[in-house]
Amino acid sequence: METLPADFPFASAHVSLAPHVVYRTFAAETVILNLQTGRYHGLNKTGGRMLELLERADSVADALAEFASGYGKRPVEVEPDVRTFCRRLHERGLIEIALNGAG
Amino acid sequence: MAPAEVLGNAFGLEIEASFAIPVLGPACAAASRRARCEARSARELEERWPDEGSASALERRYPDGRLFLSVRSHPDAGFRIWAPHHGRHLVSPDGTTIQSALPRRNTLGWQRLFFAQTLPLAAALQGLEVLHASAVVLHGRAVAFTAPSGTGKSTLAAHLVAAGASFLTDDVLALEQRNGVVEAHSGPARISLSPTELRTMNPRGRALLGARAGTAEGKILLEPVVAAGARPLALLYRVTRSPRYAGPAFRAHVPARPLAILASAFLPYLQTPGRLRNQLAICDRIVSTVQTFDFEVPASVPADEAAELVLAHSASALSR
Repeated sequence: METLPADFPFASAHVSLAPHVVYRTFAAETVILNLQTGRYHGLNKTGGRMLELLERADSVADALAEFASGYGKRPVEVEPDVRTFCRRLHERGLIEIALNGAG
Repeated sequence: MAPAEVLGNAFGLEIEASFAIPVLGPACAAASRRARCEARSARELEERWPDEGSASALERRYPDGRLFLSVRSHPDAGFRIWAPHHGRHLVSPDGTTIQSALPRRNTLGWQRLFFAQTLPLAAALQGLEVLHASAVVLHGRAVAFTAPSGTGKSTLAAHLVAAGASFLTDDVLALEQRNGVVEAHSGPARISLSPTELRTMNPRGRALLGARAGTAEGKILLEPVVAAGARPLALLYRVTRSPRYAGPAFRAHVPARPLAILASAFLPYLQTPGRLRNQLAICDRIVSTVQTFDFEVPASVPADEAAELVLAHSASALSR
């Protein structure tokens, strides 16, 4: 999986689940299954919530705003963690990230 | 080709075979899938197996480098399972046909390979999920034990059978969802136990473990009466043994831990999208409908005592 550049504009990007990936949310963790590699990946409750919001939102900025408000924080406070989260899932081939309007 | 007849069932499959396969459970309605087993010569199998285009799915070797077990897969031909002196089998991609070349001697050896690898693979290819687990039946419901190899899940199951539980399966547990319930299927009527453990049992308990079939790899192979068919899976214990534990303890998985369940999947080399999706779906049902626990056993606690603890704990858990 291609590494995203350091200055990648996450805020305006759209996140979608990779086509070969399925996931299930359980009470305390979310299990992501990569059907290409056969590997399971676990996310804690916070990570699972973030993934749901990213997949549903039109942009990372929208997901970030909803995520931050759910934890009583400002988006700027959680943005670094969300960036890292997105990068890690992307590096593992679990999500696709595209710039809105880039097709 | 010799005519085939239905011999019985194991792992949720009705087994039809042209050669004798002992210790299968009686044919029953629970097995809605069928596997046909045909005897072949080793040469016939090798001629039928297209080595070109096949890939190694699993290879295990003895410490001295000799081959212990080889499983190869081919997109059109299915799987070839081979263990020197233990026979070889071709399993069709859909798991409905097994062609077997069996050694003339080493009857127990080929049976071990057949029950431990070949039939579970056929079951998984037919849509059943298989866990590395032993299981017994208590109060009409299946109680299963997962554990790392060598931790003693077979020994624990044997002591439970000796204490009056019904035997369901040893080492491989086939599961499927039916009407929202996780059903646990019986395996072949065979369990292995160390001679030391067998000596700790009283004559009545020993008798409940059935006839002695022989020995293999230092273990005694016994043939308990199997509770043939399927039972709803009610309890799943993950057994760990350690000298660090201060005392035996049961710890409920609250909330449930799906990755711990997925980690006990058998045949990890089988990673077709269909199997993986099924695995996740079964895991979801287990989390929703089965009580799951860690059972921590100090290394100093003998297996018969651990079995008594499980009997008491499971009686309480099943009454909830």
